[in-house]
Amino acid sequence: MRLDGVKSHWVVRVALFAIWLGPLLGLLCAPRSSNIDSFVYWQLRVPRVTTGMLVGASLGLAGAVTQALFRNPLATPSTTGTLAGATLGALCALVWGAGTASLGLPAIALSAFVGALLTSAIVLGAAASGRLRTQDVLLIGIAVTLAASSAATVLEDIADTPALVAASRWSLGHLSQVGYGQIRIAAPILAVCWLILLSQARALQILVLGEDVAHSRGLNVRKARVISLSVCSLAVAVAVAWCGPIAFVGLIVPALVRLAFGANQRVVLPGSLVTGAALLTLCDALGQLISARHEVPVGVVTAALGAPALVALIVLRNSS
Amino acid sequence: MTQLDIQGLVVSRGSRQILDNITLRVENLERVAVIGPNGAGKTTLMRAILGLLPADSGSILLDGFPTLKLTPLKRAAKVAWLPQQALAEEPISAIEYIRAARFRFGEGDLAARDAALSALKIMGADEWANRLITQLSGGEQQRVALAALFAQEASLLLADEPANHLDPAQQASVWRLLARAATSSSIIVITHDINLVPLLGDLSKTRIVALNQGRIAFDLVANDSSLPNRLRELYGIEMQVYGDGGQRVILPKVSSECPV
Repeated sequence: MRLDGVKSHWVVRVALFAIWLGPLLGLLCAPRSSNIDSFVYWQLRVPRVTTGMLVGASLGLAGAVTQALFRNPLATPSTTGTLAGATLGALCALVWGAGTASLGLPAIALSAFVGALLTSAIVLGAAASGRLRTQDVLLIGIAVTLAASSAATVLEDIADTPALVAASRWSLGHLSQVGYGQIRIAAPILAVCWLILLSQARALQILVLGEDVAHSRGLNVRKARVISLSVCSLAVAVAVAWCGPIAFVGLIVPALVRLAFGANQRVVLPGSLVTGAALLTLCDALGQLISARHEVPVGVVTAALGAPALVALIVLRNSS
Repeated sequence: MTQLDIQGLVVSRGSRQILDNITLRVENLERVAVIGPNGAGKTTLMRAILGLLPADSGSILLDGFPTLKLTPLKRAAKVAWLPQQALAEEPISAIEYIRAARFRFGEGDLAARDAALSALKIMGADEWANRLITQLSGGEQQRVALAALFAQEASLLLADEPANHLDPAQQASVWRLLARAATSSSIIVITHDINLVPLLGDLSKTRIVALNQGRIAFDLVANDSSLPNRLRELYGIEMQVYGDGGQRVILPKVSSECPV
C-alpha cells in the first residue's frame, strides 16, 4: 500500500475532518435540559473535552516540532526522552509532595518541566554534536527513556500508599476532572507555548534542510534549537503534569498531517495542533464508550491505537 | 573593498592540519575555480569562509568583517553556499525549498513566492515549482539548488562540485547556469573538471586556485599557458593538451603505464 498518491491524500484529509466530528457531536447532542444534565454537561463534559483539546493540541504540536528538530519522523516527545523526563519530574513532585492536594498543578508542572528539559537536552546535545547518525540519536533517546522509567519505578516502590495510588492513577493518563480550576492555570501557559512554537515554523523549515545549510541561509541555529526545544518541553511538561503521560499522540498526529497536506512546516505545525486536539478528545470518548463502569484511561487508548500505528508508519516509510 | 580576504588561515581537526597558512583574496565580481586532489582541503576552505569552522589562526574577512563575528543574517547577505548533495530528503515542493533560501529577507508570503518563482524561472526550473524535490532527477534537483543559491542574493557565491554525478549535458548546463547566477556576484567553484571552467565566462578573467595538502599550490589566470605543467605537478600524472587557447582541453594522458 502506498499513501503518497493524490487519492490517498484525500482519504487522509477526509479522515482528519471526520476526527473532528466525534468531539463536536458529543458536545452538541448531549442532553442538558434538566438540572442534573446541565450540571454534568457544564461541570464534567465541557471541562473534560476542553482539557482533551488543550492537551491533545499541545502534544500534537510538540510532536511536529520534535520531528523537525531531529529531522526524523520517528522522533517524538516519547522517543526522545521528553515525555519520560516530564513523567519522572512529575512523579518526584507527586511522591515527595505526598499527593496532588498539597502541591497543585503549578508545582508538579514545574518539576515535570525540569525533568523534560534535562532529558531532552541530553538527547538534543547528542544530536547537535553532529557526529552521530539520526538512528543513533534515537537510540540514545530510548536509553534515556528507559533510564527515566526505571527511576520512576524506584520512586513508586518507595512511595507510601496514598501517594502511590495518586501516582499510579495519574500515570495511566486521564482527562476526567471537575470544573475549570486547572484549565484556568494550564490554558494560558499552553497558549503562549503554541504561539511561540508556531512562530518558529519558518526557522524549523530551514532547519530540516540540514544544520549547515540553515546556518548559511542566515538562521541562528543554536537559538532556534534552544527556543523550540525548551518551549516544546514546557508544553509537554504542563500536559503531562496535568493529565499524565499520554504517548503516541505526538507521533501519529504529525504523521497524519504530513500524509494529508505534505511536509511544509508552515502547514504541519498548525495542522498538528488542530488534529491533536481532535484526536485526543476522540480517544477519550472511545475510552468511555468501551466500558461505562470502568472507563479506559485515555493514555491506554492512545497507546493501544498508537503502537500498531507506529509499526504501520515504519512499514509505509520503507515501502515508498 | 576586497570582498573576501583570507590571511594566513590555519584550520586543523584533531592533530591533523587541514588548511595550512592559506592566503587568498577575491575581488568584487571575480570568478575563481578551486581545484586539487581529494582531501586537499577545498571543502574545508569553503566551510571556514561560511563560519562553520573555527580557525586555529589567521583571519577571514568578508567585506572587511571577520566571518565568525557576523550575525547569521548579515553573513547570509554576503555569502551563499551550494553544498555537495545540496537537496535534503525532505518531501517539500521546489518553491518551498527556494523560499527557505529567502529567509534572510523576512518578507511576506506573496513577495517570497514571487521572488522564489522568478529565481526558478531564471534557472529554467519554474515548471517544477510545485513538484516535490525528492521526486526530481539529479539534473532537475541541481537546477533547483542553483535557484536557491541565486535567490539568496548574496554578493559571494560558493559552489562545491556543483556538477558532480551528472551526465555531460547536464554538467555543461549547470556550469552555464552557475555563470548566470553569478552575473552580479563573485563566485568560487570547487571542481575536478578543469575543462568546464570556460563555461563560467572569459578565461582571462577567471582564476584557477589549486590546493594541495592544505596549501595553495598555484594561483593562475585560467588561460595561462603553464597550466598543463602545473596540473601535472599537482596530480602527479601526465597531461595532454588538445586544441588551442580558445577551445583548449586538458586531459590526463591515458596509457598502459598509467599509475594504479
